[in-house]
Amino acid sequence: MIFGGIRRSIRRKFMLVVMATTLVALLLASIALVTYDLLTYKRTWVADLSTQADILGLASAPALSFQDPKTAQENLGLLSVRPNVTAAAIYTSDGRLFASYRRDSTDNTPLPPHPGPAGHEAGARDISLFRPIVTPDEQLGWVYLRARYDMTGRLLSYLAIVVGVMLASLTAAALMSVALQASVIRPILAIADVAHEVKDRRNYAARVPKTTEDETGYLVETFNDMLGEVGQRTEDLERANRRLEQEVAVRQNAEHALIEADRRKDEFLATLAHELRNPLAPLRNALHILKVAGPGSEDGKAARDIMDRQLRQLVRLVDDLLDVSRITTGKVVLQRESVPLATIVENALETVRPFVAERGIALSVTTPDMPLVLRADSTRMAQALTNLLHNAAKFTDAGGRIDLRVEREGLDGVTITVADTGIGIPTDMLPFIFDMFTQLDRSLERPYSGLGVGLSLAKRLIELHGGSLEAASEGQGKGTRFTARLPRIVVFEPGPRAATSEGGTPRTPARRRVLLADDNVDFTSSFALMLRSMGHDVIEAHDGAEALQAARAIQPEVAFLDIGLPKMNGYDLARRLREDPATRSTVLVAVTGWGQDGDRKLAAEAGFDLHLVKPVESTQIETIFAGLASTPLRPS
Amino acid sequence: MIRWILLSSMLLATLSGSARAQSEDSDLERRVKAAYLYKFAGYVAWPDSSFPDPTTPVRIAVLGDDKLRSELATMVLGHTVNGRAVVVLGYTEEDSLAGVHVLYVGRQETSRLPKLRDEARKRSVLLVSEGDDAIDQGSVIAFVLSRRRVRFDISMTCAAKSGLTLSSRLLSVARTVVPAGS
Repeated sequence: MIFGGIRRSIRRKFMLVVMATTLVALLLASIALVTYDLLTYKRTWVADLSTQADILGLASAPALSFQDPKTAQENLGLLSVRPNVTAAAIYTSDGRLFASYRRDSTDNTPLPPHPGPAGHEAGARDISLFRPIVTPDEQLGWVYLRARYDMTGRLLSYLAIVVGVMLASLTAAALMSVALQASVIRPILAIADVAHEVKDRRNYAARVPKTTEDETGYLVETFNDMLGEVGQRTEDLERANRRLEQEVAVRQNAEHALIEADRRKDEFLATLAHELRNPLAPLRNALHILKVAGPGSEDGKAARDIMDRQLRQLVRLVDDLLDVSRITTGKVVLQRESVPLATIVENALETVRPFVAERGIALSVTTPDMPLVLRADSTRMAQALTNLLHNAAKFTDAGGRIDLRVEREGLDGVTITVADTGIGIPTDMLPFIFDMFTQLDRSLERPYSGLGVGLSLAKRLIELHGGSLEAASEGQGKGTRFTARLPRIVVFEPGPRAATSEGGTPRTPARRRVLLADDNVDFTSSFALMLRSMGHDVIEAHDGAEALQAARAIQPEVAFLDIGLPKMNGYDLARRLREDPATRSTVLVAVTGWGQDGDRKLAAEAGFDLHLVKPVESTQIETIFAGLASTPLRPS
Repeated sequence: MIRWILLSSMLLATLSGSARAQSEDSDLERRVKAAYLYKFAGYVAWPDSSFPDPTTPVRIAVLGDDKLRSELATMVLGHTVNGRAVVVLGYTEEDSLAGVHVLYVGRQETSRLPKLRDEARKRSVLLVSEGDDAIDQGSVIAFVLSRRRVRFDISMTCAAKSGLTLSSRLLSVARTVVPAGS
């Protein structure tokens, strides 16, 4: 619609220009011509009349000289051949009318009674003139002529002619402009068409065909170039926009992730504080009972049990935290060895069983008959499995059941399934339960909600072993099933150590000489008590020098050494002991609060055989002594 | 002067037919004739021999009418004909016509026309006389009275015989023109 209007407008303008030019040119030419003609007409007419008058005068001179009006009258009568001359007269030199003539006898216009001054006088409709009749010797009289001088009529007829010529010219101009339009306007319309196309459809590929070599052609060329430029820039801009959008999306995701992680960390800190405090109250209570009731009594035993459980809980928490830290920073180095899966399962079960029993949950274990051997860090693997079982126990109410099932999968795979009848997981939460610090149930009634790192740890550990961990749940209240898949080593004969461990009954340890060095007197005394209860001989030392002296004195078979010892630190002490032939074969066990891999490495370099992180469990001690029993000691 | 003559002519026309004005009529008539006489000279072409010099005046001789002669002499003062001065002469029979261009013979002397005729023709003198028969007696131009107005007749024959050429414009105002060869 608008576009059509534009097209019409440019056509109309073109025609207007042509017509206006023609009209103005014609008008100016007409005005000039008419003006010139009217001026000339008058001058010519006056000259003509003058000549006429002179001829008349000459012819009538004898008539005047010899008093012959009749002849003069006859001379004037000759004017009948000049239709424009309406009246004429001859006057004598003394001003008397001598002869007169009227073309139309009914013409009543009076003749001048006396001759006027020589010359002409133009009126609206006629022109009159006086000429003297002169001979070389004298003036004889005057000739008077009056003629029609129709300036208005002449003007009107000119006007008619001009109007006619203009109409014809304008028609011709209009026809010509229509013909010329084609060559001038068509390229411009082509440009307009393409501009329309570009504007409506954003089609920057459109081009105007170039048909002329004039300014319009140049315009077309420039327009096309500009289109190309605009198209290119638009494309670049859009590309940049898309890239920006993607970047923004990525950044937004990252920001959301950061916010989410921050939120989880906050929750984690709150939970951590809660979890760390939780065991403290029972511990204090139990301590109080012990003070009141005495260690030997029934209440005292119960109190010790409570303390034992709560301590375990605390240790677990701190262990988990350390592991989280290690895994997060990528500092976990697996001590991989060939280890029977049964051993790992047994270790895990041993850790979990008391808790499961306490919760009143039934635990069934199904393992295949054939031995399955993993290439794994048995401690880490057991930790992962423990986490899974612990998690199952936490979220299963009393009376529920946990099924642990170990199955072969293919030739070189193994599947460990932990299924419970607990509260289950809502489907929409399934993807997130392995995220760090994720907790589904925050209710206060659930005392063992934990830090939200157990499952995450388990998954990471399993993945570090080249396996995978998946969670499945029918929904809330319908239990949860965790499935771990791990690669295994195909072996046909179980090793002797594995057989030993698989039996699950460590041999009765022999009586050993044990050196215990720690600046924490409470620790050494309680540790010593425990060791002595196991039937070993124990010497305590509270700084490095003292420990070195004691070691030389008794040549211990096993030495538990703190790293942060006064006077001589644990590393130096270990080196000194290794240098001394008397203590070279002593099994050196680092007992420290530092459990990082770097610490373990330093310990190994210093000559330690083992590395334990405080607090030390009695089972760990038992394992060490069991190992001493099954493995021949270094030759002393 | 001319204006006066014309005025007189007008008076003459107005008062024509009045017996009491007979004497005045004669004076008017004489004055008109005098005026015509020198005006004729403007319409006549003389042979070149008649004017040997560019300054040669036009000589008009008057025979038998002294009043007219004096009238004419007064009239021509200060006037020219074809750029030449006009001289008026009295003429007697004894005088020669040599150097004369126009000879007027008054009414009383018309009987002498035949005698003068040959001499006049020989010397190309414009012979002007009076009366209806003056033409027959050899006059080139003859004054006549027509309806109380002074008119004149012209004889082309006499003009031709005198070696004179008369302007056709003069002929147009003549009462009668006797063509040549008749």
